[in-house]
Amino acid sequence: MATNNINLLPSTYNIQKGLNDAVSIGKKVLIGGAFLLVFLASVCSLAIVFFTRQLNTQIQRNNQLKSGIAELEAVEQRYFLIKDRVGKISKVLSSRKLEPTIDQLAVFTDTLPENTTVSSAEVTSGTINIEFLVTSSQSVVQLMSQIISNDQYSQVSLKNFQFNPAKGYLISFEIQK
Amino acid sequence: MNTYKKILIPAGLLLVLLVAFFLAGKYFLGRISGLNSQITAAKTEQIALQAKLAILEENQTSVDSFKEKVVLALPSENPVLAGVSQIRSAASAGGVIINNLSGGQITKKDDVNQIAISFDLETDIATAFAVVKAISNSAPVSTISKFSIVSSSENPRISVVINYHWSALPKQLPDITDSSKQLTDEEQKVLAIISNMNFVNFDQDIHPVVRGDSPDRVNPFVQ
Repeated sequence: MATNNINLLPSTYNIQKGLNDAVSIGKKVLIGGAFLLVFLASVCSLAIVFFTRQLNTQIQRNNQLKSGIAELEAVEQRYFLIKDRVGKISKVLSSRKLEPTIDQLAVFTDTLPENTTVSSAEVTSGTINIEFLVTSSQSVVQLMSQIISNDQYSQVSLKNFQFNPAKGYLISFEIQK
Repeated sequence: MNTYKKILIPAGLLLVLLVAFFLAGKYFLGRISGLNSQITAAKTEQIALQAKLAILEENQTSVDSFKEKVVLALPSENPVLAGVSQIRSAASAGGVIINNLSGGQITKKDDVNQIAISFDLETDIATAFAVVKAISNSAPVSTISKFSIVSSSENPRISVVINYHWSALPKQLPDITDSSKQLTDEEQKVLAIISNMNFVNFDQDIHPVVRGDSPDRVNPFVQ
């Protein structure tokens, strides 16, 4: 029994034709893609050549600078030494706590009223414990007003006030900077 | 069968093209980005090197005037002799007698060593302040850790404990590409303080006698 191919699709719809069109488009895409690939690869290769040259120029420039620095190595050693010493000296100077208080005490004792002497004093960080021997009551008033009017101290405490007829007044203060 | 062939060959080639795009993109982008980051790093290094070179050229002359002073201000070894010399010369300039001069403990803090020297000054208070000030303004750099006044007789006794400092010198330079910084205002201030310090000059008063060159002396045994 002979077989017959029966095509029920309309005669305008040809599957072979559609396939051929798709294959033809595919080939065009392939050729276009290949060209694009070659073009992009060429552009990237040129970019790589350009960047490599730029990098080499940069490295050359840096090497020139390095040789310039190497020529000044003796200066660099001294500069580095100065930086190191100055950094450490700065730390030492900033650890000076008594010096400013001693300077203040020096100024203060330089302007004491008459008949007044320092009988003892001890300077610790920011604090002065000081005892005065005053032989006249007028000087006591002057000393008190001098201490009170001094605005360099944050706190002044009267620690002791004694009177000895043989010596005079013994007055102790704790002065805080 | 022919129909499948017609579809499969272009589809396969398209797949190969896509893979080629992917591989080429990965290679080229990786290479370009690597070069770019190398250029950026080299440019950053150039800026640091230029700054360093400029600093060194600028300070070429000034470093010479400070190199000795900074080492005298903070020596690499125990400066007790220089310290005692400064105490003695300050006291002698003020006409003050020093008593109970003694060295104390050595302590270390943040790479800086210190030795305590204690002494008593027998003088009036104003002179004692001047002497202490002179010691503070002299090199090696010092800090005062005790200051007390006791007046029992005419001349008060001023007890002082002063610390002298020293620190080992740096042993190696930083890498050539390490950036250097210009001296800060704070560092300039410290340099100004150091410049105004009094320095020990051990060889100032030493006149070595050259053999055969001494002046003629009178022979005391010959009448």
